[in-house]
Amino acid sequence: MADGYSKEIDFTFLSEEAAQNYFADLNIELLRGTHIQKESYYLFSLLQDKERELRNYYNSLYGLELIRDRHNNETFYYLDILDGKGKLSRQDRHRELSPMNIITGIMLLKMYYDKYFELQKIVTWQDIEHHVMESEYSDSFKKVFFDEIREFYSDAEWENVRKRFLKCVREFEALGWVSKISSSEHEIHFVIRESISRFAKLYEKELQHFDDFVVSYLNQS
Amino acid sequence: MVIFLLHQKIKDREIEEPFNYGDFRQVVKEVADWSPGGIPRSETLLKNFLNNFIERPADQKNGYKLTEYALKFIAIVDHKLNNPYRTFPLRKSFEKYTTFQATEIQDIVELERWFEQGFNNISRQNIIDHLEALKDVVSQSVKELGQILQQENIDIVQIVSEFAEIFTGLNEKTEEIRDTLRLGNRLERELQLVVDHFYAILDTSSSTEPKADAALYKKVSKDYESAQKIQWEVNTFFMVVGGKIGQLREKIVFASNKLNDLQHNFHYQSSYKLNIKRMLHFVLTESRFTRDGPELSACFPRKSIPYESFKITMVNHMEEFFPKKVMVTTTLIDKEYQESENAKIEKDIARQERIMELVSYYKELLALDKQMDFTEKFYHILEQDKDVEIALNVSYELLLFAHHSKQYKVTIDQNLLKNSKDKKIYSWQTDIVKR
Repeated sequence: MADGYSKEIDFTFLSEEAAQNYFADLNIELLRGTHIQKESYYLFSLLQDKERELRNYYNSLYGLELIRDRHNNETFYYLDILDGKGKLSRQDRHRELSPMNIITGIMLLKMYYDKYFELQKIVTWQDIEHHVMESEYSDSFKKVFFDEIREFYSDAEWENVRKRFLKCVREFEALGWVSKISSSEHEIHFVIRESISRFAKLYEKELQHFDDFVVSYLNQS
Repeated sequence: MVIFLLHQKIKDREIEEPFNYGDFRQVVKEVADWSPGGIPRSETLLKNFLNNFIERPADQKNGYKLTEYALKFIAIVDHKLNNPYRTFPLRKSFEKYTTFQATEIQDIVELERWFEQGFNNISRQNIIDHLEALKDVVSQSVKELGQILQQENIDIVQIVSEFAEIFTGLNEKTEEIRDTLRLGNRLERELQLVVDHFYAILDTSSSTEPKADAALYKKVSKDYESAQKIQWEVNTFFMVVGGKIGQLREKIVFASNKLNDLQHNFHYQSSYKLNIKRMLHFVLTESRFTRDGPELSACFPRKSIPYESFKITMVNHMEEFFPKKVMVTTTLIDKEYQESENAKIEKDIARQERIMELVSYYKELLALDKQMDFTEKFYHILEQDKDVEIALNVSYELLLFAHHSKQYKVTIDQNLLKNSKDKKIYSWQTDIVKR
């Protein structure tokens, strides 16, 4: 079919050995919103081998679209919500990105492109601190995270900000947009993965037509 | 920075060592002038530096000097920043230290000498130092490429020329890496020839029948083992070097490919990147601070992602949800046990009463007679009541009474035993006498 979906619904692939071994994990990860990249070897292989069957499966049973995307020569898969959100339309089965997610997402996207020539886009807490204190948008960052613009902030104030970023990094890790390098639970040290481009895709319209977006947003508010 | 500037000033003889607190405060002020922010408190800084970086010389109470640890730290950073290998081509290092002709080695001593003196002591560390320096150069170049891309309002011709300059350097490094790997392979081949040479000697020696000389056979066998060991060590080292070089090469190739990608969509990429920056600024200006984290206006577009949570809630102690039943169990009375326990209690009470009765009686008797042969009374009670506990307790109470009383005194003749030799309990002759 032109849309890539088969009319006949055939789920016999689920009885095959690879599906028997890994489908349950893959299904849970995808429905949680995770983006699967080649590092998740077995899940990624199953997606590659049974891509057509899995697309039919999610489309017919969940009303969701299994997307294969590519960025910087890296392929990744994820489930996208079609209009009406399919079987995930219930309030507790999807979530909106929080303001902290949006700020962090755009910041990481910027860092990703700043490190355009670097093989691994590694980010540490010092990089985030640098953005807050030294970047050209430093004053805006300070206002949003500390409520006032000062040259110094106390350790307790910094710890609050660090915790907000840490929580957000953990959420992004669950989505597969970043992967942690540090084994410590409390340290911010991770790699931005190619799937961060999904965040850019979510805000594709706004990013490509930024001026129009700003005009329409300011008219609304 | 303070430690570095102190060291520099001491070296330039601008300040003397040991330096004083005024010198330290001046250095802190100079460092603060270069960096943003106010002047930090010199006392606090000095307190933090004391012991690890700064110490007081034993003979000068008001002087300070840099510790050995501080000097080592400065040397390490200096080596990292001004690594001499940075300007010396890696290829030359390799050529210098890996020149090796298998035909030159005839004796195991020659091979061992090359390995220990030439390779192990000099080449190994030099090559590693060189690779570290090269890694820094590559990382720095890649960062510089990124920085060029981040500049706004820069002329395209200027961007291209800056890219070209950095990539010329990176291409030279790639060439060097290629040559270095080739030299490494050549060294491995030569070493294989040497090992084969020692194997051939061993093979000839073992095929000679009868074995002419057992000691000679043992020696050639040992030589072969030594040659193998050296070969293994060198190969392992080059495997590690290969891995490090591979990483550098990967970084350079990646950066080079990214530049090729950029050539095709430079305008799109730069306007897209600019929009990301503008978007970040816009989101930040539209956000406001709250105690629970940043907030955005409801008008700001929020995007949805699937979020079906899967989890099992384990309830470990189900019974804790309900009140525990308290069962009352009626136990049967063990009559025999009850009677025996009652008898014990009654006996104890009777004994206590008897003791009190006898103590009162003998106290009255003592008051009347003014003196008492206590030992005799003891044996009398023992015989009368047939209970040693009663006799001992009465004796104890009476002796205690006499001991603490100012009216009586206790006399004990430890040598004389009166009428007690035929008794089961021996006693000294004890009397209580009025003072």
